[in-house]
Amino acid sequence: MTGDDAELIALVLAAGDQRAFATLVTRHQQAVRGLLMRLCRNHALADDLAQDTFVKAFNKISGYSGAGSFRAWLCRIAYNEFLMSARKRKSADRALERLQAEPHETSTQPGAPGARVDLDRALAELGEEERACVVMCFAGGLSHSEAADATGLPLGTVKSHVNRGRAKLKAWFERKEAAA
Amino acid sequence: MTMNDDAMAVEAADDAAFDAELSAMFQEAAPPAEDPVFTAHVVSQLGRTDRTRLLALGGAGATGSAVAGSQLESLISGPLQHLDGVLGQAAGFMGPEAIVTGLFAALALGVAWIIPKGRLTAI
Repeated sequence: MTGDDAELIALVLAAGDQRAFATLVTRHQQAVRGLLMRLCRNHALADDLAQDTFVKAFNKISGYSGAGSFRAWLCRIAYNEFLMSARKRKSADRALERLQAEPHETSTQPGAPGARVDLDRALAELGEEERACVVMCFAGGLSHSEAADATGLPLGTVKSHVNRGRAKLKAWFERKEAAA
Repeated sequence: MTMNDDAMAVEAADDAAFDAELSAMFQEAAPPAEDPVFTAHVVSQLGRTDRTRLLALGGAGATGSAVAGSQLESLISGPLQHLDGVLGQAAGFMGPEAIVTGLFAALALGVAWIIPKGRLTAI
């Protein structure tokens, strides 16, 4: 099925057209999955959240006003899903810590290629909001104002998070190169 | 051009080069552009919520009707005798067609309230 996002969204709104929505999923899955993979650093969880994101988008598509891009709207849902999941995991971790003395190990994808592992390690150096802004702009391909809409942060804050995050990443890769 | 301008130009070029490098790294680490398995999995989940909702509502409605139907006679046989006169008067005042129309209107309003906006066509 072809057509631009607006036409496909109109079909989904008018008749709950699942084929039209499947085209939207195909078109935007890389951005949404890429965003969640870099935020979660756990590929299985990221894919689960990406599926939840698209199902929620289908059910709430009447809430898309058409003011920004559809991709930015999807990224906002994805970011909210990530935040909710992170909150649940934190409370689950706290409960687990009460039962276990040893610290809980966070999982990374086994056998991931070196460049990807490097990128994830470098991103781990950033604060949560810095990481979200950098990932939305570089992995999701959003503009600063779209990232501001998606995260709910002011535009100036997003710009400074992206600049500071990029500087930290640059420093991390320079340190790594010097050490090699 | 001053030395300060030169330094700023070098820094800007350096930043642009790093931006390109960073974009390439994100691109390399990104999932495939199109994954039919992922799309199929999402599509298979789309109708599930509605089906579950319909089954739950239908089941609850049917159970409620069965319970109400079994209790109706014993529950209202007494008061009904007293209501007979009132209902008779209401029927005389409104007419049976008006009462049935009112009941159907209430039913339709109930359905419209339960089923979320934008899903009527999908069902």
